[in-house]
Amino acid sequence: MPKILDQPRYKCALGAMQTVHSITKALPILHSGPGCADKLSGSQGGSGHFAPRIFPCTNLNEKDVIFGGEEGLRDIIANALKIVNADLYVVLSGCSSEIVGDDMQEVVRSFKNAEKPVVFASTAGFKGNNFLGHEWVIQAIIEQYLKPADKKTKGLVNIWASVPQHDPFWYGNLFELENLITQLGLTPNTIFGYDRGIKNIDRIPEAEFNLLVSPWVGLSNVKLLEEKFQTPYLHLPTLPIGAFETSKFLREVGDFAGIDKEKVENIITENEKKYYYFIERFADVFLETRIMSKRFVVISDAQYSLAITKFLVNDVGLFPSKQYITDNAPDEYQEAIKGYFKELNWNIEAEVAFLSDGHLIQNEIKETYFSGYPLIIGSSWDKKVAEQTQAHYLSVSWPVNERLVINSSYVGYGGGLKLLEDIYSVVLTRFN
Amino acid sequence: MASWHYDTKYDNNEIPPHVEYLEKESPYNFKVSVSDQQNFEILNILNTYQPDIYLARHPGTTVWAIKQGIAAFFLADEYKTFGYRGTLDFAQTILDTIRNRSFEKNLAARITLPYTDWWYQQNHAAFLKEDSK
Repeated sequence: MPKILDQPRYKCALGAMQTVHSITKALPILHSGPGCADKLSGSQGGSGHFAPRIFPCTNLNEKDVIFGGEEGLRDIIANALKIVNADLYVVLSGCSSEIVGDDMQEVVRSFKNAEKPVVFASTAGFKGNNFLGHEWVIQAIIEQYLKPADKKTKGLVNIWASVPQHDPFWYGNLFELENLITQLGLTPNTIFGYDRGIKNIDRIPEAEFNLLVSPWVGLSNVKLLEEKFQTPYLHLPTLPIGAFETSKFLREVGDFAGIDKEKVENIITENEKKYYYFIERFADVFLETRIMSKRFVVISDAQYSLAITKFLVNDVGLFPSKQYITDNAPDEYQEAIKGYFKELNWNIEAEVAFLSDGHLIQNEIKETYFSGYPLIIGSSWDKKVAEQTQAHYLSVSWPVNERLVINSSYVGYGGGLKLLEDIYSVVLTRFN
Repeated sequence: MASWHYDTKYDNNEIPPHVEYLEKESPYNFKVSVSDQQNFEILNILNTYQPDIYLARHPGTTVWAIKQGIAAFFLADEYKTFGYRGTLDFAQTILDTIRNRSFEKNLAARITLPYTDWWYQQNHAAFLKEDSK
């Protein structure tokens, strides 16, 4: 019997077309059947510049499956280069083109002298989900586009974090990470979002180091960058939300970059003073919301399950129930990720399950006793179980259907306050 | 330590049953301070006794235990602690409150208290005056 996944919280690898879209003036070219892009373009906010679901596409049909679709792909790339004014063309494969064995690498290689760069990433859905597809697009850019730099620039730091667009807060989070790095006196380099794009991609090889802020997504990319350009990397698994984790983040980055300890401590002190000014003023609200249990559940990707668990335990003083990771994190990372959930303050540990099936997760939640109304942070799929358990509910990860996220961020000191605003804005609606 | 709304007598002139019970069963084993929600007195008492946990029934005082780094829990509605389930919920919440000390320890370490050091060295009842009539 085939297994059926109830309530998908990720897309197939071809969903990485969103990663391409987050690079200004980068265009996906799809070697896939008709409809893939339309099905995958479910999030709000594409590139803005190009249509979010209308790309150059070979529209593979039965004839292509029998006789091969390589010539069709060659035509589409050639014509896309003529018609669409882009800086970077990223050819992505779908399932059918991979199954019939088209040599797309070879077709794309024949465009190596084209006026604009064309790269290829194999993103067939049966190979993995869009978290892996995101890594494969970055890998394609590293392997097929980047050239070694003639110099390293001291203080230049490439920042890699979550999957753009799939993570509704990707933009705000990434820019807040940039802001934190800038406070330390370093120069951030990111490739996604406003005014970044190809000029920043070109600077990747000259960075002093790569900073990966993610439990596992992107680890293969920074390792590849180390191998290809001898750029060392710092891997921080926890997205810093709130004072405890953000101060830790600044210390760890400062330490790695060799920044004067006193300078780092002064930056932290100043930020924490401001953060606790607000906490002190609104502490009553957090303490006297009598209807809220101290127990919470996060149902999200490894990034948010970990980051929000750490914030709610280490900053807010809540207590973790079982936490769920829904991004299908590869087996080789799971032990390490479980370990991060054991490093909470006050010797608190959170049990964690790697489970993508919403039906199974929600059954477990219905069986859990929370000693009061729990807090459930997840995706729009969890709205129903939240109603059934009379929980306070906030959606933060895909699919998020009832909120509009433009550029807000949960990262940093301000991000922690923003998450508190969002949580307690829900809590306060119960009797108001 | 618990901070409770206190009635000397009910409308029918009876003493509240829990006070009567304590008076009969353990007259020398509990300390009571009755104050007109004088915050500086509560903080002085908390500082003197350093309790493991502070339970408040009255809004607005929980945060003050927290600011002195003491685990605290706002009970709001004591009826929620009644019955089998209520008792277990209450126990669970106490356990969660004393096991995770992050909120009060983080906050207490980074703020200053509005009362003078001098005050903390005084008896909490130092400003109580006997009725002159």
